[in-house]
Amino acid sequence: MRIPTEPIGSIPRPLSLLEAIGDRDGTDPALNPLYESAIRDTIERFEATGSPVVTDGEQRKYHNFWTYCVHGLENTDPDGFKIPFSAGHTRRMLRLTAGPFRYKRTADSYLDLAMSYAHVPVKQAVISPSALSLMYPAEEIPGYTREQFIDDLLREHEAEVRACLLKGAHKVQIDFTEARLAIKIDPSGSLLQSFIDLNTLALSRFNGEERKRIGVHTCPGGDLDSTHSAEVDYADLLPHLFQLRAGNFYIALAGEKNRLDVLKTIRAHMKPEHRVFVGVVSPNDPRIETPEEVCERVLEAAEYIPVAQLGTTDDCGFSPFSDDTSTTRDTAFAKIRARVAGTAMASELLGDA
Amino acid sequence: MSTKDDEEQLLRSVAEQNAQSINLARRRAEEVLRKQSDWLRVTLSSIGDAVISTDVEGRVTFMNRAAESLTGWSEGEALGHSLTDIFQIVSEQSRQPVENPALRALSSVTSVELVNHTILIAKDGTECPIDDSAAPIRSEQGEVLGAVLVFRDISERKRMELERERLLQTAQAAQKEAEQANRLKDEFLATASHELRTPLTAVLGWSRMLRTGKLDAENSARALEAIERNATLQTKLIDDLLDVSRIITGKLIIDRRAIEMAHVVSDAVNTVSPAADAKNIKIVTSFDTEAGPVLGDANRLQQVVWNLLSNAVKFTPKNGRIEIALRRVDSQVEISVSDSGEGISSEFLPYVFERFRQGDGKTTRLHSGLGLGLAIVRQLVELHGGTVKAHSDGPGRGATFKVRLPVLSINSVPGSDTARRDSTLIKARAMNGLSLECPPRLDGVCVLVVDDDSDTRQMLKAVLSECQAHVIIAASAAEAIDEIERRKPDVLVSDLGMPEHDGYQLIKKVRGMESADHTARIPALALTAYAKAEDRVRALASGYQVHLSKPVEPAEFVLVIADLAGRRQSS
Repeated sequence: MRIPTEPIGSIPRPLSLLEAIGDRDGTDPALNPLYESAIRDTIERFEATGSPVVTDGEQRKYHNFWTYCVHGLENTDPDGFKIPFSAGHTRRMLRLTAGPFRYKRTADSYLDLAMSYAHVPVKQAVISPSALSLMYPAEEIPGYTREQFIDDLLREHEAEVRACLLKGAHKVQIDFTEARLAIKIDPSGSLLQSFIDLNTLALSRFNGEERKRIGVHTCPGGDLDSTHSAEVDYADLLPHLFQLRAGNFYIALAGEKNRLDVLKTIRAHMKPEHRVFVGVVSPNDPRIETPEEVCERVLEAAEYIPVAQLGTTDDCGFSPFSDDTSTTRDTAFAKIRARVAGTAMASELLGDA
Repeated sequence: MSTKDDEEQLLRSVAEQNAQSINLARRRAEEVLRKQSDWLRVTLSSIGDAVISTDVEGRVTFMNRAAESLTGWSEGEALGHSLTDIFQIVSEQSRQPVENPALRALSSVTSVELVNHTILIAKDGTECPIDDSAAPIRSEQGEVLGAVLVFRDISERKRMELERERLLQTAQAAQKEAEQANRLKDEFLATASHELRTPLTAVLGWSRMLRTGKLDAENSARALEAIERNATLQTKLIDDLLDVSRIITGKLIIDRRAIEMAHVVSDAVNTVSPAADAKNIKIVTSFDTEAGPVLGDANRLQQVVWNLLSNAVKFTPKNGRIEIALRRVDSQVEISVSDSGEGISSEFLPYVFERFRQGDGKTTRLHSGLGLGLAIVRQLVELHGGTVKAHSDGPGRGATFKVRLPVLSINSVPGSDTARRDSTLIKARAMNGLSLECPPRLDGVCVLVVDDDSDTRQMLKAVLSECQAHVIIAASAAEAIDEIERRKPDVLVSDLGMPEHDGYQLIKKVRGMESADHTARIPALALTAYAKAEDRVRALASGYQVHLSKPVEPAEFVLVIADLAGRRQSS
């Protein structure tokens, strides 16, 4: 049985693209040829790794995976929450200043070009409603209640996911990297529960067949080779995470200190209808994993997860924030190649078994 | 507190507030779901089909009102029970328990299509034919959660199906009967055509030979005899056809009088005697003169007996024997006609009185006739409240026909003009092969004959002149009026169908003139080819005293004229 393997999403942008963007607005039409070149190159190199599923490397998410859909909205200020990372730096959210809340752009707009270059299925990552819910400030916005905002947010998210599905995305992956961060910030779990509730509401808008093509990604954050919530125990998250009515779960595992405990937790809480893609390469680790090493990790996971429900992935995007150059494109693709080869090796071994 | 702590505190605060809004949104979504669930439940409860859902173990989780009604279980009672307790079904044919479709759907994880011929036994034991089907209930992930059973009462449909089947069978039988009747009618038309043409052949042939003037006296006499015989035969055929037509349309008029059947039977025997003598058939009679009178139409009853006797003569070989008996049987008079003839097969016997039926329907059949005689017999006998039965021990063993008529309990003596006329006609018709050898004298009787057909006028004038009547002829109603104004005739004889003014208008005019002049009414005879009952009724209602249909026997015609002339004299 062939074990499926998929990327998370982002690939470091070419330096020439980053330099061209510089301090400019990333939507400058003059940048279009550079975006297209970067996407074509990304997909070519992706396919060269043998990866059966590719992404556009999020080359057009010129700011980051979190705010790509709201960046440039006039009713926002850049002084939102700061997300602290273990390396000591922070990333800052946008803050909504007025209603109504609407996406500036949706991820399905990236699919068109990517699919025109790709020869294999293309998946698309979108940001979770729970991440964007933090844009509404502590003080209520006059004339635009928090309830109205939640309604608008759910509708915008649904429209984005549905558009991706309609355009033929192999999978639509909802980035829920704030899940572990929520436990770190609120160890009581109520913040996580509110995030789960919101994302559950969003997922309930899709039918069973659609949810089979929807996945949820969680990781401790990855930026500049550091994390924001790696210290949070997966055991506090996964029982809640698997309550989400999605068909696929992309769980960072390669960078975990105690993978076996995580696998045991997965085994205890995953459901028959779930497929769990475990991370077998770590973008935060500058060392390039060997296929054999990846194979070992897959075989290890297969001891806890039924092979029919097992998949492999990267722990995280290789460059969730566009200006993160801590990992080179070459390294990213080398790691992906190792993931693909190692997964294939494990598939053969498990198939033989 | 550090800046980082401040950020996290603020984030928690926002998240908590968001949580409240998310909670509200979730409750709204749950409310929508609850309403959808309620709507679904109300919908399922409202539909006419019975619906029961079960869990994966086959235990009832829901049943709608229709299901409650058909099973006799309330939902409250049924919830948690095994479906096999609630939904007990047996095969309509074998009465053996049938596999529960919902449980089959659960075990096979496939839909069980419509199952027919199933009887549902309700809680109180009542039974109801149903259609049922079932399907597994699956989650969006394909997991089997239970089964849903849908069934409906098909009692009404079954009843309709049975009714439809019955109607279909009736229609098929009617169609078969109609086809048979049609076939018989076709056969009859072929026979009628043949039978009507046969005498015409003789009439035309002999007529043409007479016109050549080359026949000697002996052959001329034979020719005239043949023409007369065949014309008589054709008249009989046409009379039979008209009688059938009257019977079918219910327009046959039975003029009931007290009649002694002995006279009727005797007259009929006399009528067929010449034919029997010709075949040397012996007719043996046995009449009980005390059999009693019957209430009936003498003409028609004589027709009955004559038909039976004619048939007996026809089907009895030379030197055979016919017995005719009249006797009293309880409160009925029985006329029995037996012969030693060909007999009737048991296959044909049940149909012997049906119209257009003949035992031998082939074109090469031995006996002529339309096959109407016995049908007319039965119809006439039944119109008199009697019965007729046929018996035969089979081909070659003769046949017996028995007519039974109710005896008239109180004697009554016919005394009306019509009765007198009828007796005259009976007498005249009894004289088969009417002869003018001893005609009544019509000396001094002036008869006005009105007919647009010259041959008829001349023939009638000749007949009446033979009886010494004074005959005036008119070719139209106008001419007739002129003649009446000039000299009042003793009797008026008029055709009905004439150009310009018909016979009805003529008699109306005549009766009008008589009323205006206060003169006596001229007895009038309508002599017409319009021979149906309604024509007779119309003629009598218009003012004629007697209606005779063409062709008329000269003797009968003369007798009627004499009768009418006597009436004039008596009035």
